[in-house]
Amino acid sequence: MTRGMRDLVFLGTATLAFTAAPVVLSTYWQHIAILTLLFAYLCAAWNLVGGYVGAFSFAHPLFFASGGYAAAYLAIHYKLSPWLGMLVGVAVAVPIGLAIDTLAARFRLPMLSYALATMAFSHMGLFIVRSVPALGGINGLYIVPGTSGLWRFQFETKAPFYYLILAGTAGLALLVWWFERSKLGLEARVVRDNERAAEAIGVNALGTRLRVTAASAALTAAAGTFYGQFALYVDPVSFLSPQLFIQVILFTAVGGMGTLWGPIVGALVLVPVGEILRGTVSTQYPGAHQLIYGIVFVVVILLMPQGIVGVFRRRGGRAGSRTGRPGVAPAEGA
Amino acid sequence: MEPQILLQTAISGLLFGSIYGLIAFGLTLVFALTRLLNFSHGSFMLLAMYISLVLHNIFRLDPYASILINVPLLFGIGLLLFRWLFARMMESHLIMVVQLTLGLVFIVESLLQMTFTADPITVPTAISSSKIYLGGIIVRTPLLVAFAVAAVLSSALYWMLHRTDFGRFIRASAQDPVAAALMGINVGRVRVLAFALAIGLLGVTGPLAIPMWVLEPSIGLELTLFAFIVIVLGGLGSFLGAFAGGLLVGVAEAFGHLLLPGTLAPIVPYALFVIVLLFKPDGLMGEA
Repeated sequence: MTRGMRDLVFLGTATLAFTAAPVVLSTYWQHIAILTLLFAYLCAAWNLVGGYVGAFSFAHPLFFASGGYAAAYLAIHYKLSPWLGMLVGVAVAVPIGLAIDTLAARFRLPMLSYALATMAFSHMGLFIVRSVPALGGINGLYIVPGTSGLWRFQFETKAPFYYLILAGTAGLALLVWWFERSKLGLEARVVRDNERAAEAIGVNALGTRLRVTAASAALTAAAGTFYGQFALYVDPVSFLSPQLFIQVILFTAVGGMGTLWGPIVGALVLVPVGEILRGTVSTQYPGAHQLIYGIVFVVVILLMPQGIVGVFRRRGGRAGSRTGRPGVAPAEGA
Repeated sequence: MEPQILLQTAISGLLFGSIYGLIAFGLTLVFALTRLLNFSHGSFMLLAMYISLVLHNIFRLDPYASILINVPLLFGIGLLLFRWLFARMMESHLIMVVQLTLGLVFIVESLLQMTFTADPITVPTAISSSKIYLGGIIVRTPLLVAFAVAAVLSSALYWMLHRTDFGRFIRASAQDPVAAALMGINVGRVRVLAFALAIGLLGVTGPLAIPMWVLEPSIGLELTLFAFIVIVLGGLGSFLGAFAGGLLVGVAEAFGHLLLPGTLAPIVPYALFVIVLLFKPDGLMGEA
């Protein structure tokens, strides 16, 4: 069977296996599992832009917050179902992503400046949102639990949240699987590896980037809605500060950028470890789990630059059907 | 708006900006020589500040005096850091360097958090609460001291860059490492020393900034991001740009706090950054 088929089979099996989780796990562990899958989802969504297009974007907090805030605000003030709120959040996030990328392309920002500019936009978003009283200001918005149900996106137990995020992550993995084999995916990788060469052979670099960014933004916004409903709380710091997405980016890098399994593996390994550490060692020594994270990141980058997935790839001796090493493009200067 | 207030704001901004400029200088030094972006730069400045805290608590040492200990200590750390970690990353892609240095940020900040908890702390100095009156302007003495030291240091560093052999080695290695090596310059050694110098510099900048800041383990990354904005604004690789950028950002920040409500005020430097970036992607004095 081809590698592609194997990936699909593996994905299906894993998903099936994971559905058993809420039955065997305690509430505490269910919570961790939900967070793990959420990170896997966010990593995979970011990876579309960061790993496959090679654009190091720090703008994703804006998309995440769009989803979270839109759904929360509309649910609180207009009793609108968070699913519709999610659509609104997506409708807000995608234009933001497109605008940022268009600006960057129009002004020909090199990679470093692009990264810093997106970071600046995220910070600006943070300052703006926390200054708007209607959005809850510094404290954010609290979602008062009301009637439960799928349409209201509120549940009595954690299990439905788990199934939702499991479906979301599995669906996204499937999407990435398709994306890797699609024309758009090929174009993205070509743009990543050498934008000028790509243009020379007729690939519309800007168009490709915009389409992938739009998808990534929409997916991230959806996750934002999910997280808002899960935590019943949206606030500027949780959604817009760099903390969350720095972790997303690092998990993706550890797992392996620009690969199907990389972001998922990265999250699946690091999130539970982090949460376990946070629950045990960090109670005595606050911050210890971050120390472990830091050490892991440093060690991985020194010893396994291609990430965890890269190690398996080399061991398996796959002859490159891929265009070179994922996530590593020739340095074109900052 | 009275001119008095405008002047006060501008001066306050310039003074703060001199500190940003000093931080940015170190970053530029590293970047110009190694093309590496050290995301952990601010975290080491934070480390220096916490070391001052410890020395103050144990030995009643004034933070200004702690500079004498911080500088060699951080210089040494810089040496080790480069030798063990950064030297290997010279050929690597930007993303990997980012990952490495972000990992360092996690390590440093978590160690600080484990030792000092996440509670905000302030460190008193001998002159923390005194003010100086210049004409109608009130300036906090520590801020003026910081500016004075920053100005002197910056000038000294600039002089070093342009009038000493070592400075010439640095600029040559930054401009064209291969040509520099062909000229007989030990580029590797220049890099190590310059990197260590940049970190050692934080041993001064940190204690200088203590009276103006509340210490928390998490502000290291914010400091670094701010410094990045300064150097890109001023022009990557330009030392003069780093200072100019620092001053500009300082003034922008001061006026932001004057004109906008507190929660929105910090937006000004970032907005300024984005605008400059769009119209002059190489920064104000960029040659990158």
